[in-house]
Amino acid sequence: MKDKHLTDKEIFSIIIEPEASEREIYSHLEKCALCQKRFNKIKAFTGVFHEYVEQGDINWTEEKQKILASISEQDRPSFLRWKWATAFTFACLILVSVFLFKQFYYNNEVLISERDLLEEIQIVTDFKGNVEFSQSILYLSGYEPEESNSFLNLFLPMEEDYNEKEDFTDDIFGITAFKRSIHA
Amino acid sequence: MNDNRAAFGKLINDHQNKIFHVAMGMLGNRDEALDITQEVFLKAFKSYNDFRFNSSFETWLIRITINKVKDYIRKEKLKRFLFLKPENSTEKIITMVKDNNPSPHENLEQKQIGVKLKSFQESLKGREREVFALRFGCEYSIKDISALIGIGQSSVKTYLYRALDKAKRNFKDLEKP
Repeated sequence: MKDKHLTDKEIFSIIIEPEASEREIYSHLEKCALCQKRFNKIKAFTGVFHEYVEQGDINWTEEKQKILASISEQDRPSFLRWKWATAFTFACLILVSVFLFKQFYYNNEVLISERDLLEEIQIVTDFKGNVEFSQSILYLSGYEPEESNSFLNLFLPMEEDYNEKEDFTDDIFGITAFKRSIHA
Repeated sequence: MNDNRAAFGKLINDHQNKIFHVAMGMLGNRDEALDITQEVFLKAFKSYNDFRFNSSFETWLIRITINKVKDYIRKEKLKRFLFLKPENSTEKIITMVKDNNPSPHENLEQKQIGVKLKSFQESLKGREREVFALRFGCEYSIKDISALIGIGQSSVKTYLYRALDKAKRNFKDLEKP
C-alpha cells in the first residue's frame, strides 16, 4: 500500500482508464479520505460534463424530420435552393431590362422624328409657291407621293395663276393663250 | 430515391444521438450541436457513394462530425477576429442550458455549470477538446478514440491528462454534494 497521498496523475489515471490502474492506487484510495475527496471532485466534474452533453430533452423525431427536409431541399435545383438570391437576381434583371428598353425606345423615337422631318423638308422643296400649302395637307393627311398629282388637281386655280406668271417667259408658241381662250 | 431516403431515415435514427453528443461535447452549445448534426447527415447523404466500408458507418459519421466541428470552430474564431461576433457569448449559453428543473436555485446552478463548462471547453486546445468530448461526453474507450482520431493510445491519454489538469484548475469550486 502507498503511504504518500496520490498524485494528480494517479487520480486522473483512475478516471481515464479505471480498468488499467494499479491495485495499490485503489487500496490507498479506499483508506485515504483526502485522496477520496480529490478523486470525487474530478469524478463529479466528468459526471456533470456527461450529463450536460446528454441533454435529454431533445425531440429526436422532430430533428430527424428537419434532417430529411434539408436532404429534400438539397435534391432541388440549386437556383431554387437560393430563393432570396434568385429573387434578387431576377429583380435586378427586370430593372436593367426596363432601363435598357426605355433607352432604346426613346432613341428610336428621336430617329423616327428626324427622318420624318427630313422627308417633310424634301417634299416641300419639291414644290413651289402656293402648292406648298396643299403639299403640307397632303403630308398631314397621309397621302402617298404617287397619289400627289391627283390630289393636287383639287387646286387647279392656283395652277392657272402659276401658268399666268410663266406666260411672259416660256409661252413662246402661244399655247397658254390658246388654252385660256378655250377656258373662256 | 424514396427507398434511399427510408434507409437513410433508419441510419439517422440509429446515429443522431451519438453525433449530437460528440458535437455537444466539443462545442458545449445545444443549438450549434444540432446544426452540426444536421450538416453531418447532409454530408453523409451526399457522399454516401464514396463510403468504402473500411470502417463502420458510425466511425465514418463521427469522423465527419469532428471535421465539421473543427471547421465550425475555425470559422467562429475568424468571425471573432474580424469583430463580427462578440467575444463573450455567455448569454447564449445560459439560454441553451436545459432548464427542466422546477427549483429556481437548481436552475441557476445548472446555468452556472453550463457557463463554466463552456469556458472550460474553450480553454482546451485542438485535440484535447476532441479527446475529452469523446471520452467523457460519449464514453468511448481509449482504444476507440485512438482509432477514431487516428493517433496512438498514449497520445490520447496525454491529451486527457492535460484536459483533466485544466479542469482541476478551472473547477476548484465545482463540487457535487
